[in-house]
Amino acid sequence: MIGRTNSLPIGGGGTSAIDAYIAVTYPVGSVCTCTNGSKTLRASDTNGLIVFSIPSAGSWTVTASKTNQTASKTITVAANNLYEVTLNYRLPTDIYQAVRYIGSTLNGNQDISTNITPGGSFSTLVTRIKFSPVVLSGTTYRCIFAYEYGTSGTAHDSELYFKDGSAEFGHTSTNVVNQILTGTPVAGQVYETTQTVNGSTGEVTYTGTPSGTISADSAFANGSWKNGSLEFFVRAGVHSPIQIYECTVTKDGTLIADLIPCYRKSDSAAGLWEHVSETFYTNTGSGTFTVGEDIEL
Amino acid sequence: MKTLFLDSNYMIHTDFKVGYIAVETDMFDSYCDTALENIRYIPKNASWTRQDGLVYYGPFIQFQSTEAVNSAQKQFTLDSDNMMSLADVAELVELVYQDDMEVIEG
Repeated sequence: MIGRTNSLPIGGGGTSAIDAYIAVTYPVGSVCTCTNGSKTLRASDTNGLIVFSIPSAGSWTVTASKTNQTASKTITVAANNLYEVTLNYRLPTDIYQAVRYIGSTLNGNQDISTNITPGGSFSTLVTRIKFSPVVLSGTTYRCIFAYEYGTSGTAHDSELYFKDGSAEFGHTSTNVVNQILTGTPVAGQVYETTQTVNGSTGEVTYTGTPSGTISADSAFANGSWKNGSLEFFVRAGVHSPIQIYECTVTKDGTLIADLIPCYRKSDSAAGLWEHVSETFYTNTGSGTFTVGEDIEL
Repeated sequence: MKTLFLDSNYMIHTDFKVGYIAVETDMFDSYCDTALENIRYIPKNASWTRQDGLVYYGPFIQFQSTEAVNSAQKQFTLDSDNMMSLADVAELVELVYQDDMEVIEG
């Protein structure tokens, strides 16, 4: 609830019989509605701000929609209250352009380090990623994604990798060295795998391609190390020529990260937009990310 | 390191034509000609304005993927990997030869 306002925008249904209002900020150009299932209120314009006058207490859902995009929130309304709601699409398309992927170049030093972390405690952590190796050459272990805790030299990490020379997928960490997974990386092929971590035992299971199970990874069994943060394209300073198409992280059933490849329209900087925290992660290394073609979400 | 050519829309070309700008870079060494011809590469400090007015600032690299491009690139990569394997074999043969020569020459 927020404090009462002296003036309310017109178009939300007139005066409320129960003196309850929902103030909605939504993306400009969108249609905004408010419904309890039987009655629907609709904003009279698309200017990005509306205050709906709610006629009855109960559950009300506000929704903004615009060409292939929808955002909504549900509020339990009581009499004599004013509620403030902000609706954002998965990607704020007025600022960012979604692309099919972002990628690093051969021998490039592009990478992304995020603030996304399991936070020291969880029962189940699920990381789903869609990616593609750009090239297979040399003998290097190439990081696809990793959770890394600590600084170089004292780092405790857990990584999904592909080894280009021997064409293998694997998982490695502080105490699990080069555990080979099922699946063979092919350059240009798009893969999707889901990593599920048991926060009690440290067991790591991959489903999709690659797939396999690692019985115990200390990086996920130790409470402190579970403060590691998610990074792409790099681990321990070694960079990878890969493309990232999408990635989500779910902790104990709650989505904590939804990463979308895009570039910022104002300066063309490519990176990953994280929808939950509304954070744009761009290149923390050097060089220039490549991007795939523009797409509509 | 390859010499590539950019047209006025910063699309890459592998052959020169009047009006194209030549650039030398190793960023695209792993891509076949078909893929290269479908890349927009805006160099650092350059900019390009799209028809709808959106301005792109370099450095910016965008691939226009199609099935044909993806297929050509996959084949190119496979061929490259095979070539690398042959190179590895050649290197191995050379090492064995050198070892043999050292034994023969005492």
